[in-house]
Amino acid sequence: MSAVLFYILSAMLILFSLKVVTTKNLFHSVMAAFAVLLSTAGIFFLLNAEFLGIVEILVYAGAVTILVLFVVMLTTAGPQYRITWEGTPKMWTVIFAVLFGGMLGFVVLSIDWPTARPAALTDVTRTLAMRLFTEYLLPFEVASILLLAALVGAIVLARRD
Amino acid sequence: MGITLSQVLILAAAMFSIGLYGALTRKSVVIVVMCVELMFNAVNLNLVAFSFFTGLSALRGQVFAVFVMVVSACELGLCMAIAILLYRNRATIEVDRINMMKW
Repeated sequence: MSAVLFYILSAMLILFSLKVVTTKNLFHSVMAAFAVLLSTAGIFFLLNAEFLGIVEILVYAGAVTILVLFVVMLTTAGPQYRITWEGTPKMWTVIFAVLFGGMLGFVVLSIDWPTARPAALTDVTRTLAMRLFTEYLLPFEVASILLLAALVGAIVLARRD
Repeated sequence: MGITLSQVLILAAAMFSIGLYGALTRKSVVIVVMCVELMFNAVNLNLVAFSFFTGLSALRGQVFAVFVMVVSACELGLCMAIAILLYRNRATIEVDRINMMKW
């Protein structure tokens, strides 16, 4: 059951990722990215990461996509309005990406990974919170300062003065 | 028969390569940043898969994935601010027409 779901989600992931990088329309590209992020969240659910799946839907599929769509609409309006971009796929980038992916796949397949799966945790979110607020408390606080700095920086950069 | 670790790793590798291709080819800053997010997502997928399949220490991979998400959200917010600034100053966000820093 979960294997079938995984294959369906993987196919969606790959197809929509290809759509993101090949379509000429900016808006379609962002919408395909939205679908990619939703299927990633689905795979997170299958891999016993409910909290991360929900965060993926809220933060990535929700906030990030809307932010990017706002920027697309703001930067394609105006005198030279055009929503399409001519992409000229250069041969060397295709070759580079295929070689890179092949290398990664070769490495993955040449290692025999442990097949025995540990028993699935039942209270993932609780355990994650315990880890985050005890063992990883300092990185957590540093991450919040980083978010604050990025917020202030984005406002300072984008405001009109 | 369920999911195996190498299947998830292959999927993440494919996703990373597609994101890499997009980041190298696309002209719009917005899509380049979206492709970088795709690559971040592939990395997160790897971390979650390792956390699921090798129970070395419970959920350490998921904690790392949380931090990767925080950093990539910061990066994306700043990139979007820079894109708006570029559009205001240069009236374009095509990466090959933004060449004022070329030596």
